[in-house]
Amino acid sequence: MYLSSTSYTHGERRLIRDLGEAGCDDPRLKDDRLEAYRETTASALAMATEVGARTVAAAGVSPDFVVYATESTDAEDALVRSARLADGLGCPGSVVMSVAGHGCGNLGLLLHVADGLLGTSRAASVLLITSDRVVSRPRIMADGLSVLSDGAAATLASREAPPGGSPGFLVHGLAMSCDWNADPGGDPISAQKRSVRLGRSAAAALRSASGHGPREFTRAIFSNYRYGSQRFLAGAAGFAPAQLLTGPTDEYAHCFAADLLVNCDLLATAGAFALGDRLALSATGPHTWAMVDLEVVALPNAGGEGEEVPAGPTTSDPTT
Amino acid sequence: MDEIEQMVRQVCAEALGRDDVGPTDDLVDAGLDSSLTIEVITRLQMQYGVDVLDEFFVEPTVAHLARAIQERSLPSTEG
Repeated sequence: MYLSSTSYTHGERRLIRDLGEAGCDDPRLKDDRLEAYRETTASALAMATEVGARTVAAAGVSPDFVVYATESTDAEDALVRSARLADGLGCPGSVVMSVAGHGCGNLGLLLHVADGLLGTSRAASVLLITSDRVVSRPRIMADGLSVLSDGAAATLASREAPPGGSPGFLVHGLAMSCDWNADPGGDPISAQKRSVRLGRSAAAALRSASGHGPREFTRAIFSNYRYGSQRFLAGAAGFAPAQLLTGPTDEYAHCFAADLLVNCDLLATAGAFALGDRLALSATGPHTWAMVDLEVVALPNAGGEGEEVPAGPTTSDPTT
Repeated sequence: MDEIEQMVRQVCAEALGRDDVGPTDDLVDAGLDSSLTIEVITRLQMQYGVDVLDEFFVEPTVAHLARAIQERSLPSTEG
């Protein structure tokens, strides 16, 4: 399964220190690369429609399926939501479905569903959309992991390789580990032990699925959590510190399940990847750790296999 | 207790805000959450130039971290 034509949108840029929530002026947020968040009055469905339409236009296909992940339903009926989404995308004949329940780990769910659809149906392409916004909860996450932003991302999953000229990725393996016994509001020590267990379990499952263990990946990429948390989670799953590649946490903060799609596209465009790089994506939620084995198969303006690309963002050494 | 183990113990004790951390106590059970873990590992890295986060996940104790630092700090005898 290939992923390409990724589109995304975020709300307006706001400074975390002006958020007005308890802890928003904690200097450790900036130390951990959290400076701005994104806010919008647009509904999750409106953002989903916008990015989905852009991906459809960029790919030049009418997807057989549309799979939409959100935890922000804005109270609309699921049937109405599907109809509006299909209409807004200009794809009235596409099969539209919604998935949820894994929070920021919903990306893993989207990819699993797409992989199943492409593998067992005659579908050639599946449009994946994730969109969320904060409605009635604090943006500073209770567990201190990050600050929540509003935004959406879409990508096209296809059986055939995408054309070159823009970032494209081949999915070699998927794994999801869940622990539904966990209490998301539990004490930090229990949460830490759970993270370690889930990370190791997901890494082992991915090794079984794709044959790649944590240390064999070129890069490990997480959602836009605090830098320290990303470093901890990477270690928990068995990645070396030098493998961790961080996205633009300072600009976007944590936009639910959209971060990883955004980060892959932005980092590819910034020249952080070379063709053939193997990326381990980790999409984590309160009960979930999804891990994805991606190969970089197309880059912006990359002329051919093995072409040199300029060095891009790398993990900063916290000691410097 | 050797010098490295003493330093690891001191760093952990400061992070935890308590001075009764034994060499084989489980640091996670003692209260070292993910933020404090990274703080400890970073301070040790600044002190000794080696990253022992992976060893923390093997065995989160002062004694194990000290051993790992000692082993990684030893000059290579190869080549």
